[in-house]
Amino acid sequence: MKDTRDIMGMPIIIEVVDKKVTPKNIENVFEYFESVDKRFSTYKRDSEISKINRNEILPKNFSLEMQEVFKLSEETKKITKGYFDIYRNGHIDPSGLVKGWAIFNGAKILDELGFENFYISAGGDIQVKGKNESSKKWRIGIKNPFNQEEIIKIVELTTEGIATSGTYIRGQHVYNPFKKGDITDIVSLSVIGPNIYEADRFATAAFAMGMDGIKFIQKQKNLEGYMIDKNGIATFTEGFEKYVVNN
Amino acid sequence: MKKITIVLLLVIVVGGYLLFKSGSNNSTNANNSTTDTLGASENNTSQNSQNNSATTSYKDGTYDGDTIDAFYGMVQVEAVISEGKITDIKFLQFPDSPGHTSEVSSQALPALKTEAIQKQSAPVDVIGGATQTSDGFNKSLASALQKAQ
Repeated sequence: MKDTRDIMGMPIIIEVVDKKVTPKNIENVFEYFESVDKRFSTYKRDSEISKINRNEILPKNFSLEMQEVFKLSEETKKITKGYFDIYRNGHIDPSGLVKGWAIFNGAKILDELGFENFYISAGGDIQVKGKNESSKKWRIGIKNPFNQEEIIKIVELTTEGIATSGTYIRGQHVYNPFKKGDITDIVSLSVIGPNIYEADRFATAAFAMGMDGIKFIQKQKNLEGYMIDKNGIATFTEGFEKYVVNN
Repeated sequence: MKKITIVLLLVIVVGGYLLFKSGSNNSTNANNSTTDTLGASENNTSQNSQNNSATTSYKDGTYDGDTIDAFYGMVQVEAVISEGKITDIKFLQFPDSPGHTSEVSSQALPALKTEAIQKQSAPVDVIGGATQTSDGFNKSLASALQKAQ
């Protein structure tokens, strides 16, 4: 059973292969994503994060989810030597961590319901578990950053998460979100991790490091990366190859 | 920090052509990525207008779409219509990202491999990649075009 919903401004796709799955099971996960959007969207005036940014909530009154995200953000900031930081100009924005965390928790909901074979994709970041409908490993295509209708790599996963960080592309200009107005050398960085939370937060931080991002990924245990530069040349970790399916 | 990507061309070509209700004679496989492509491809445009003379034509002018919350930021587009066709789409609002100032650490480089990216054709279960906010774009554009009718 497979369903798609637009939440948080992106398509959330859930596919569960296990026979006992019901539409309600999948609905549970969509509802969870909706609750995350309500709490963490910095663009919703009445979200908890917006209230925190307006100093309307004292830290001791933060929800448990918010406390957890703050704790995880702090930890990620340390590991990434400051590249991952939710604070800027006195404003707090944990969006860079919340997506992977939400997919991870969504997968946990399916886990707890006893499902063994599924994936959740939110805006192109994916957590898989088990096997696909043909009882094979899940096959994930990585999009060509220069042509969204093409895939340029296929990987097979069974329990991992894969996240991709990319630049904004405005017209023909490649836009580096970390250095306004610059054309960046890196257009895409995909990271495979033991779960989507790990993959996503490190993809976000490593992308901000530019060409050094892939070296950072190489140094992390259990993470593999595939980086594409503006000339269409990929640089990847040796361990990444074991996931690759060749045509 | 934001890890979303927009490929404008794709959305504009697909969205634009869908909204034109044309798409009969032209693939969305354009080879460059400027927002002028729709207006610039005169051959296609004239062909489209022949093929679709019965379909909706928009009133000339400049129309602002609604501001749409795309979680990572607000998206708002402006559509420019001339001779009944969309000739330009501009972003009035677009999610931006914070600056990062930290130094890159200079440590010994581990071995990495390189290759030229290559199109793959084998079937897959799901596609990954940094692509989103298209929904906000589409909604804002749709509301702009409603005003143009």
